[in-house]
Amino acid sequence: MMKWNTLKYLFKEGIVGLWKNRVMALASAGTIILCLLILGMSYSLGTNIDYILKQIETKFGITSYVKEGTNENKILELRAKIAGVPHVQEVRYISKEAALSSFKEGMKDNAIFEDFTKDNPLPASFEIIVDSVEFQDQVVKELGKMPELETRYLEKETDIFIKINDTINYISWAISGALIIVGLLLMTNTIKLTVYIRRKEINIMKYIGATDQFIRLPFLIEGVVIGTISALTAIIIIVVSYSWLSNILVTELIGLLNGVTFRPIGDIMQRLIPVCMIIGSGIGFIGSGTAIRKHLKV
Amino acid sequence: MIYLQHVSKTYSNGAIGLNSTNLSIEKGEFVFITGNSGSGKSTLLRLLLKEIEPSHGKIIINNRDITKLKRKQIPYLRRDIGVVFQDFRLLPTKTVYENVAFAMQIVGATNREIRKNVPIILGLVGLARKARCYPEELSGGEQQRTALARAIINNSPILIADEPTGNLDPATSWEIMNCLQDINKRGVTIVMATHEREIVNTLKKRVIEITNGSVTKDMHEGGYDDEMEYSQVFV
Repeated sequence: MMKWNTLKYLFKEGIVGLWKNRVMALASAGTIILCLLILGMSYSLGTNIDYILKQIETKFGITSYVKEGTNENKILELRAKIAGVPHVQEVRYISKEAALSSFKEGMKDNAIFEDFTKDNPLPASFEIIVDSVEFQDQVVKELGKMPELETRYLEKETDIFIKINDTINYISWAISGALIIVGLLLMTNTIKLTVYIRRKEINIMKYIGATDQFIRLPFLIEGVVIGTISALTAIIIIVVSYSWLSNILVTELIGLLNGVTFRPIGDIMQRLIPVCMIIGSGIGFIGSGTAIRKHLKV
Repeated sequence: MIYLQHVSKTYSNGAIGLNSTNLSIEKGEFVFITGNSGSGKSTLLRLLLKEIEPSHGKIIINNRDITKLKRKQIPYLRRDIGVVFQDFRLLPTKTVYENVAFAMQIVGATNREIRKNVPIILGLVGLARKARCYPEELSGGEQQRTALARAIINNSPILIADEPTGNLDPATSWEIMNCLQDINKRGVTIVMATHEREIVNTLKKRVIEITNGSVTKDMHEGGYDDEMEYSQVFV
């Protein structure tokens, strides 16, 4: 068991070592920051694609028209029945009057509406939103079993959308996975190089009777500190650049986006902060630990 | 203090480092190990430091058979053996003071002991004024004296010196030799590998010559070949 005095010394050695070997420490930190930035960017991109697709999905609503002559009680019953169908997220009832007034809103100053007020031809309807677009078919099938309803939805468009959605998901996961593996290898190699440059130092320590633990501890502390500082730096850069970029995109593409928003930075950071911190400090710890092991066999 | 019994070392490429060598070095002795390059001098020193394992035989240091030591016990063996090398091997990012203090930190000395002992040892090797210098700011002789200070700071009973004057000019070499003699006078056993004919001939210490992995001469108050007739041979 190490004495408290020795532990204090080794901790200090780790911190001082960072400064004394600052060029290599910076190189390691730079690599880790870069890799975490790439990881953060690919995660932000992937999660945003998912987020945006989910928003677009909600626009693929199902409309079920209520047949003429259905009474109010039956409508209430139907609403409850629809809400009970699996994967139905939201049911909105639009009465004949509501349908007319929203139609009028869209076509102001048109005399034709005068006649409509006397005899409203628009049917009452339910607007149904499904929790995920791939369940639309299933929900439509269930709605078809209700004779009071006539259901319409964008079948072909939904199919295409599901295919695009799946492909984008696969691609973004594959790219993220590849980037993570490349990043981990790059970070471990840089740390290995940092330790390799100091192998003579390790050798000298062994010759004068230092135990493996005594030599290893300052290196591990250095590794963890470099990893943690790099992770914090990467997180700050991601927060600043993401907020800036999403603001610009929202302002510039306001017409094109049609109400679609980007995932809030808070949501992204909730996952990204722990992942970056664990990868950063973990790679510092494991990288230093494995790199030094080879040089301890003297 | 140091006993080799039928020690052989054959490297994996078939080269013979030592060939069934018997040797005994007693406490307080000053021994020169001489021989040509590749004769087995370095193999002997590396075996004593347990950097390599013998193929056969026993090596006993301080009543312990070091061939039976586990890997974890090696650092504790090395704390009993101070070591200096031809290329000094100082930690480049530490000052003279820190290099010497580092050896004390390894054995778990308190800060008070370090603050007390390091200046004394630096004074002993004539480096009191250079305590804050980094190795690159020192001359070769000063670097070797720092290495000597580091080797003796923990009162190790044995000091192994692998050609400690090999990189130094003659005047500086003698400074180092004087330091080593002072250390030897304090009871430290010194085993020094060297090529320096003049040093060996002048100091008249015990000389062990190794040729092709075997001890070919072992003389008290010995010298190089030309002065052999004045020496007593102990093979």
